[in-house]
Amino acid sequence: MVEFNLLLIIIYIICSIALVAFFPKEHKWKALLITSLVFYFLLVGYKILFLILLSFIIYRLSFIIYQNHFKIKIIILAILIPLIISKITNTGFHFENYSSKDIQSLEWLKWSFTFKVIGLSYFTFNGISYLMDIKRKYMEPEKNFFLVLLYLIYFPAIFSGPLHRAKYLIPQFKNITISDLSISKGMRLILWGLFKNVVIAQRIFFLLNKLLNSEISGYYYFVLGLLFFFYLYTNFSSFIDFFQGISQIFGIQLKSNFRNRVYFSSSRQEFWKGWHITLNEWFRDYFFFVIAKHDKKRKYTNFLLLITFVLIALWHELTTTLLIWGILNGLWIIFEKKIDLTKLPYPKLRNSLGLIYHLLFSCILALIFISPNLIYLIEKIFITPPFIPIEITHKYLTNIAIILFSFIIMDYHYSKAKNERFDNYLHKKTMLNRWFIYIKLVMIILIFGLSPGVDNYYTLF
Amino acid sequence: MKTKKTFIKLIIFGAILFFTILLIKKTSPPDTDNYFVSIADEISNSKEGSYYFIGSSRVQKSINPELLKVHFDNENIYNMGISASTFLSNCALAEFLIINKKPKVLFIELSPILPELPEGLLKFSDEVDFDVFRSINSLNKHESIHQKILINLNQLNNYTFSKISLKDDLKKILGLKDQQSNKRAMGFVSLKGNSFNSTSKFITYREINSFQRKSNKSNSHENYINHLLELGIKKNTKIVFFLPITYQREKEKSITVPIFNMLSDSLKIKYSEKFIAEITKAKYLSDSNHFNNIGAEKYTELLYPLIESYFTN
Repeated sequence: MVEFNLLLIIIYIICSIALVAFFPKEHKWKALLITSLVFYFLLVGYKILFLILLSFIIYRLSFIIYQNHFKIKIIILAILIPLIISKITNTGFHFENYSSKDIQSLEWLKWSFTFKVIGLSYFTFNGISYLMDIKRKYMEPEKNFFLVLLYLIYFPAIFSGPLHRAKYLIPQFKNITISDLSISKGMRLILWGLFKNVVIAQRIFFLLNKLLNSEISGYYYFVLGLLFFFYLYTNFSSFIDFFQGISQIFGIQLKSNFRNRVYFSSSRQEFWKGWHITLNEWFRDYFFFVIAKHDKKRKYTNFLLLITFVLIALWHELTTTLLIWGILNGLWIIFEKKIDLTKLPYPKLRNSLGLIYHLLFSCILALIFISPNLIYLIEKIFITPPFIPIEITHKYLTNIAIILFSFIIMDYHYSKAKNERFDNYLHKKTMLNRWFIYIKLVMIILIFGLSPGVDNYYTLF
Repeated sequence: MKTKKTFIKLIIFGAILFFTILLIKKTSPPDTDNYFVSIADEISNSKEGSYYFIGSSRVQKSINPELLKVHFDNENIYNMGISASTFLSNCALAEFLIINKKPKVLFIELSPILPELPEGLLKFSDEVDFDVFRSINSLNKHESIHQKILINLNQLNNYTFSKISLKDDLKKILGLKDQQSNKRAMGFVSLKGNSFNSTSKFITYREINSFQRKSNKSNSHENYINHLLELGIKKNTKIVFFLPITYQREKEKSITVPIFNMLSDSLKIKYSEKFIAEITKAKYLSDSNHFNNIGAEKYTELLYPLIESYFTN
């Protein structure tokens, strides 16, 4: 697991800006391709050659598919092989692998882990999306291989998405402009991402780890689920904000992956509509719709939905725990669809109670997600007598206060921004107000930030 | 590119930040009793032929040098455990001591490698003439250029952040910073009480003997060990490695135990089955991963026969 060194990212931004400025308008994307390749190489080593080769295969296949010469399903399966191998050969429990991010962090550079390439999942998903869109005649194959390569390994999006259709991203590559506005907006998102990542997420993770290594048990154990739920949101969404910001500097707008305040959803359906949006859309467009079209009488829609959720779960890790996690997620959505919560009376009360109901069940699912196995979880919650290590909560009281304080700041801005992205929300404020927010965020980072790097749990997958 | 305005704004913003940071750093009261100055003094005044225990917070909280001094009737025994230290920083500190202090024996904890440096080591290096970056580069001389770049970037990143971070300054301004927090960063720490009632985090005797190496290819651990051994021979310093007794993560065992098993007996402290059985008691733990004062006393006493030969020869 990689923690993205801030210095490395700053060097990437400076080099990219300098190169983009140097290249003429129609060739600016080549500057981004060069920096993407160089910096991706720094992180994955010579394994980048494997991805370049795979990109070339995808590029060539796109023409074959366009002329209907080959069965798309066979091609998709072939492209999925490296990802499947990487999932099957993945050893160890994902949460421990992540907690041990410090351990032998440079091992993944070596050839012995050929398919353990950070970003392989998102590379594969984008490759499949590109070929499927061509098959569906949504777009024509891109003639320039290097543009396809840039689409597949675009540095700000390869590690954890957001996922994009080539039709959305390639035209933007052809129109790169760095302006006062693009830099300002980009920097705002970078700052916002940093604040959420190095202050809130890292501090929640620190507390979560302390509690996980304690003897917390019984109903107190649900606290861990709650912490992980908020951790995953702040960690993942901040990472996306950060890289969206980097991309925005070059005038390339990456899609939003999280709805503002998605953590306060009042139902699972509402939550999934605002969580990892681009991945869910990918599974909807390239899996669910593909199999659903065979179910013309709509008899098996719920079953297909369940299969989709199981697949999303198994993409994380091929274990029975994740299988159960996927089934429970699917069943929860199906249950909500059957009873249709929106028809319940008293909308305000429904929303408030819905929020508690959603948080409670989300905690349970989060606990399953981070448990090595279900027996362990059942033992911890139901068999071991309830216990909370008071000394930990006392010892880390300041940390808890900082988390709450920073979370309130984050939520305050999201509540004001409503559906707007943070950079656009700030853009509407007066300059004085904006600068006040910048200084406030920087000072919080410098005072309460834990480490000088952004990380993301989802780069594991 | 029309970006002139942005660069002007960035410069103004940078200047405001720079002066704010400077102001806070200047306002924060200086350390009246800088612990790192005192520990640096102690190390500077230490004699050639001393004994040092190097490692993480587990070493800090498990090896009581005062007991060792009495038992071996030797004043020159030091606990140099550093909170959050990993094998890279252990070896960097070891290299510094070998070159500058010519110790008789260095006992080094085998732990995973994190390409980052603990705050305690950086503060200590500020007080003694210790170029951590040079040391890390010499340890990584066998690594590829690619890895060297990443490791150096990591060090530089952490170093820069430690310099601009205002965490300590604000604590000092608010009167929340005590010397105890510095003392917890380096050297022996005695903890009272027991808040962990399980022995699940202890390594077992079976585990010590069950993890074996899967490949013969040398890795960073071996490169560091070989580098220190070569240096030790030149400076007449004996180097001995040992395993921690407690592990927060199972994965750590699968990394360090095979390396430990690969070492010849003369290069390591081997725990016997009886040793493990005697120390594996929950009452010795302060938390899941560290000994309390009773645990430290017991562990240190149990070490006597295992390290006796290094003091008598």
